[in-house]
Amino acid sequence: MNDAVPAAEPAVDAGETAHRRAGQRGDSPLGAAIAAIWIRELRARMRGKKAFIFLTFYLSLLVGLLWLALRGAEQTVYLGALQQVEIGRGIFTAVIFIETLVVVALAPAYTAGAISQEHERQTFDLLSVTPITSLSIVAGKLLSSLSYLVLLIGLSIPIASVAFFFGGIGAEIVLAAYALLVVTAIGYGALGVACSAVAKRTQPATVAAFLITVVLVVGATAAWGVMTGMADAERRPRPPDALLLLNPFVAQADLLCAATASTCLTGITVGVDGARDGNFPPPDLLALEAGGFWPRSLASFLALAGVMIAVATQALAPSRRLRLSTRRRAAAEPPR
Amino acid sequence: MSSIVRTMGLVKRYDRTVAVGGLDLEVAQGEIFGLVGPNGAGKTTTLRILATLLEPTSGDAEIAGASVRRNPNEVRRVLGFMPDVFGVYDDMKVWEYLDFFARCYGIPSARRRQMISDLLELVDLGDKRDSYVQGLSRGMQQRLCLAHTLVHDPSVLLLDEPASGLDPRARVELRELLRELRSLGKTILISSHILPELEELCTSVAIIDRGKVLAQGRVAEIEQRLRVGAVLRVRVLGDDLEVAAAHQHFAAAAHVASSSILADGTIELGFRGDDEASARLLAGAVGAGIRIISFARAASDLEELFLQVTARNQDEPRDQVPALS
Repeated sequence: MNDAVPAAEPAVDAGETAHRRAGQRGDSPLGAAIAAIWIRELRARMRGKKAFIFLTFYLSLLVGLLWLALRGAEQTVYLGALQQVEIGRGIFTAVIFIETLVVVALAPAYTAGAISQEHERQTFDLLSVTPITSLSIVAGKLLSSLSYLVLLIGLSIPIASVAFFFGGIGAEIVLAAYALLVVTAIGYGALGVACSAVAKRTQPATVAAFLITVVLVVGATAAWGVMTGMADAERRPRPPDALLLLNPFVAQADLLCAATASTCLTGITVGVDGARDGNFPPPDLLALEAGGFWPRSLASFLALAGVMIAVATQALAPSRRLRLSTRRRAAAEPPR
Repeated sequence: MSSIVRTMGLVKRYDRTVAVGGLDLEVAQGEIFGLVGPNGAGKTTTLRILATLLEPTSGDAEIAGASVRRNPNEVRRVLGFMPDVFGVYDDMKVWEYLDFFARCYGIPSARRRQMISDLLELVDLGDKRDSYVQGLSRGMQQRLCLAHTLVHDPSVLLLDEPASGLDPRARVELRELLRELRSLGKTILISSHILPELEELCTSVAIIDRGKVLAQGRVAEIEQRLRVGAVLRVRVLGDDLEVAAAHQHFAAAAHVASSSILADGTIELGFRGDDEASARLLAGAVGAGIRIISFARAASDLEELFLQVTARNQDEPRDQVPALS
């Protein structure tokens, strides 16, 4: 042991002033606190071979798909302008739908351990006694998990951009589609963080996050389909499209359908497309209109993220809950 | 000295179980204060309430004047907490570990680098700066965890069983480190089962059981308060007959409340007199021809005090435990 003096002379600089100002409330500046969590998570996530191997594999898969698409195009003897446009749209649509699948599958998986792993590693107490706010912890965890996901999404941009060579896809569509992807990741990522904070164990949190995601994506759409079929048969009004708002495939299909009238892929957008043509299904029964759905879906993902972040913040630790009243309840933890 | 840590009627209930039942503690600034008690006494619960990790059911606690109920964030700024069981982040280097916590406290980057170096030197981990945390030994991790509690230069340290799981050498190093921290002006509240160690280290202790303080103060003061008598141990030269005769002599002497012969031939006396009386007892025995080779008061240590105090508490029904302090 030696006589070193531990840190922290009362120096005052700009950062410290902001810190002290925040300290009036007793917390760390939100941005700095989120950055602390974010940097730590990224260091842990990106270190070692695992991340590198996964990213290489993922990129190879995307390039392979592109190569297959281009091989298919090569086999066409003559590519007219319209055919080129179709190929471009096809490549873009395929990339976006693959990315949507990646986001829906990975966002809950990456975030479902965000808080629970702190409990399992027994590091949560160390984090909890810092003045970092619950919101900073949740936001930092979400941000770091999403950073990796956004990296995966970003890696597909060069692949999707190949569509530009063929034409038929505008930059604004690319931007909108990727914005929708990122917002989907935020919504389902926040859902995973909330499950993680509530369950406090990674395995049940992951199961819950996936179940809820499946219910919101597949279940709600299936229910909408069944109810729509019954409504059509009985010539009643169709169920509200709100059931589909958290299905990113529907939102992306709507966006692509509105932008490229010939690339309507789903039953819903076929319906929308048909409605525009005035033949299938009967226009008066349609609840959707191409291009009008995806902005509402985007807003819904943001709302989902907001609600889930609030849930996670409240569930993080009983002693850190925001309270509207001064009434205190005992935390339901066993005595030690 | 003024109190820097105070608990006022602190109660923590879990359904029907009372983990802490109206705890009143005062810890003066600059002390190393030991919390002593059997398993389930409420030591960890008390420390976790003070660390703002648990909310008290009723009562309150203050650290440096800030209430754990009303100003938990203020409390978090002035304390460093080391839990009894803690983990480490994987894939993190030692300096990154401290850097992370320094960021959590909003310490500017210009100060972080020097502060991390100073702390690593303080806990003797300077040469492990670029090692991965999970690769450190248990003792090193314990010291690193202690270093992390210091990144924001807190005035109070709460250490829950900091020496558990450490080998003797690591314990000695930890003890040295805690003394050094005290010399730097820190107030340290420490719980431990290893009583001899606390006795050596602590300036004051509180013996708690079933969530109540049974005795509080300096070890010598508690001993004085508790002392209804002392135990004298006498060894006599000679055979069993001589020992028996000596035993008879002592049993009949003034101030001797009880006497017995131990298996090794030592005579143990329950003595209710002061030092003057014990000197007279010794002189009388020598004068009676008893060949005494050893005459000593049995040392009263923290362990013994602890056993005495908690033994009184064993058969008391909950909520009827008398406090000694």
